[in-house]
Amino acid sequence: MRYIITGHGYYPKGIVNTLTFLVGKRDDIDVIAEEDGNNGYKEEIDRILNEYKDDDLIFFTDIKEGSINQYLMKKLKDHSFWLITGYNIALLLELLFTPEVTKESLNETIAEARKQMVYVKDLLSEI
Amino acid sequence: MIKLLRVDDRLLHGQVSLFWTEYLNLSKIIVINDEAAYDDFTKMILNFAKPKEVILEVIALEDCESVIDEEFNSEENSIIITGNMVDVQYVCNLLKRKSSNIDINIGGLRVRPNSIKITDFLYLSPEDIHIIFELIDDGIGIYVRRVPKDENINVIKFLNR
Repeated sequence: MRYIITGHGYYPKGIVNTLTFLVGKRDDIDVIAEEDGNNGYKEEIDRILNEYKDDDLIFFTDIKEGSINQYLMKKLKDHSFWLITGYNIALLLELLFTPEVTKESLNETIAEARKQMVYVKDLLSEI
Repeated sequence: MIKLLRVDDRLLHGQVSLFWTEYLNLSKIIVINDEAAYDDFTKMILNFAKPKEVILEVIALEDCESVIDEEFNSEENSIIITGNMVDVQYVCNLLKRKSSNIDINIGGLRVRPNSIKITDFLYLSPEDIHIIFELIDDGIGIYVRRVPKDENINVIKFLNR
């Protein structure tokens, strides 16, 4: 499995920095950032799709409206890869230790990771 | 009412969906772009990128005249987005028949082979610059601004004749 973490500005680099902090350095993670005025992410995505075409690829995008997500959605038409938008650290941590995914397992992992965003005062009132 | 006429090669994306929609209280987003209008898959993707409560229309340049007339007279707020300077000039020429007070918002034009860097998110080709001066001579205001919180900068500040 190859993990491609994308997003706007420093976000994806920051996320990977956090992951390295938590689980150590990995060589199966790529980072693609959309920066102002720069179309470079398209070439980067094309390169990865081509270079790792026999691998199981999983792309993460930060927002569904973003240009990278839109570009990847177009690519889904004639390429096979997993695409998740709105990722968080919990989701990445889980998937980094899941060598194989299925549509069902992915949906379960997403559902679990979604639970990580919580208004904490509500938690406190449960105590 | 057309609240904003925008040029942005990414067409509809987060900046419009997340910020301009609320700021201008938009009911409708109209994308005028042949490539998108003639490709159902691109249209579907643009639909994913729009806010739920807003209507999206994706139309070809040759079909835009009636839509523009309709939006001009409508009470609902809309934004028109084109993907390049040629298309926005075409739309401007249609709007000129209705109004003498037209502004263009440049949201972003990214690197192309013959373009030069104006700002981090704006690259213009010699043809773009030619069109910009034609539009300015027509009395049209052209401002660079990605999102509402940005300063609205007259494009003339970046260009020399």
